Amino acid sequence: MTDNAKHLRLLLIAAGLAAIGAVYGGTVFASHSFEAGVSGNTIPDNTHVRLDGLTLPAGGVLPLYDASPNFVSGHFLMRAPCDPDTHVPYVTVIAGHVDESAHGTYVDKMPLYYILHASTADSCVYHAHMPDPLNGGAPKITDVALVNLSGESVSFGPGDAADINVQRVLGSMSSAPYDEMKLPADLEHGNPVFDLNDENPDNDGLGFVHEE
Amino acid sequence: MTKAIMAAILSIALVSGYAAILQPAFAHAHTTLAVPDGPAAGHEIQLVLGHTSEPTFGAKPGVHDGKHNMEVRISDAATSLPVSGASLKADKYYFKDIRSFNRASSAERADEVVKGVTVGGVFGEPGHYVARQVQKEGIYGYRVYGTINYFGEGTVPIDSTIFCKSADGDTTKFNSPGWTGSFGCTEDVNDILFPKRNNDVTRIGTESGSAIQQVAVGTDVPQTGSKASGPAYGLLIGLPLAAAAGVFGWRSLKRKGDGQ
Repeated sequence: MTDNAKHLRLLLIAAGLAAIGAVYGGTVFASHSFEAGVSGNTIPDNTHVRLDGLTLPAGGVLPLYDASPNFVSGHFLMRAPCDPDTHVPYVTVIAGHVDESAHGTYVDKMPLYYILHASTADSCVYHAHMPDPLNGGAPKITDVALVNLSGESVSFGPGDAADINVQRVLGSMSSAPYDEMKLPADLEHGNPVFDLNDENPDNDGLGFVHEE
Repeated sequence: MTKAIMAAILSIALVSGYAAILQPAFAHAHTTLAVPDGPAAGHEIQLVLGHTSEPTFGAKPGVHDGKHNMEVRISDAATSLPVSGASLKADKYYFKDIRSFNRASSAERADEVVKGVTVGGVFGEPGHYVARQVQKEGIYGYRVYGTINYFGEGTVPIDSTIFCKSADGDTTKFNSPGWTGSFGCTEDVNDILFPKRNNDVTRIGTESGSAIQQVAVGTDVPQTGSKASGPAYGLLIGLPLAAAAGVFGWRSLKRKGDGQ
């Protein structure tokens, strides 16, 4: 092969690479080519906390998640010991914003959906929307925590866990702070618990579409 | 050779820098509406109205495309969650200047009126609705009407009018009550020329059909996914690369030819 031919081949390769760059406009093909990736500018964030083996004393607090200063939208999952009749968890799930200043702090009990078909006798599985605009709880969530307001120690069993999946940032506390204060100590034991699977339509909460 | 590479890098940097500039500013008007009845009665939604890519400038060939859509963003007031499922239409009003606006006895006497424009949801962006348009320097106002579905537990009606805010005078006389803030009226892009006397821009504006018009500034902000997508962006990235490759090859061949 002559030198001219070599240079011509080099030129063709370079032009080809440039053309591929033009066609795909910045798309990079690597080993993650099957992954859809994010849509928009927010990276989904998942926090998984194993609770098995933990004992939360009366009055104890277990922080699970903190996205401060951003308040976020996402989903909450928990498996935890519960009352077998009411399905209310023995620990209370709270969410909102815990600020360095008490006056900037607002937390409330998270409305929970009891998932019968994923629960066992002594351990209930719950889902919750973060935030839940229809069923209550703190409207702006930067923090999620478990608090033991039951007055007795609560021990978690095998498989108990909390999982928080955040899909979107909704805003920042710096530009939209709470204008009222509510502290963990202001709350009483027991989350609101909804159940879509029992015979009582009055405890389904709002936002659920009943199929006729 | 080095110059060619530098030129290619500079081109890419300019394109990337321009993409970074295309961020939505938020000089918008907002109003709060309450769910009137049903299980969610009393809950409030926030409706924000304005133009994409503020500040807005009228179209000027080869300089600015003037594409500033009328946009509405709807969210739950308490949580800021986006509210999708709204059915919205808009009547659009245009006055060419403040004198024309001041003379009018009603919005319906605007220099141009378009009625019943659909304000459609943006795919993949819940709570975001737009009506596409290309603007001209002047005063814009909108009457937005329709219904907003509040998470399946209530319907909020809306019928409200808001005009842009002009630096030339008060433009609030046709506004419905309840609005806070506003979006800016559309200006002449020549107002932001620096230096003020720019013969290159003046020439572009008068040379219809020139090649440079094909890369007129785009300002259509609503888009999903990365800004680094689409055939136009690909070409903008690819052409400098292709040019660099061509220069490299040509000079290499020429040098070889000279050597022989």
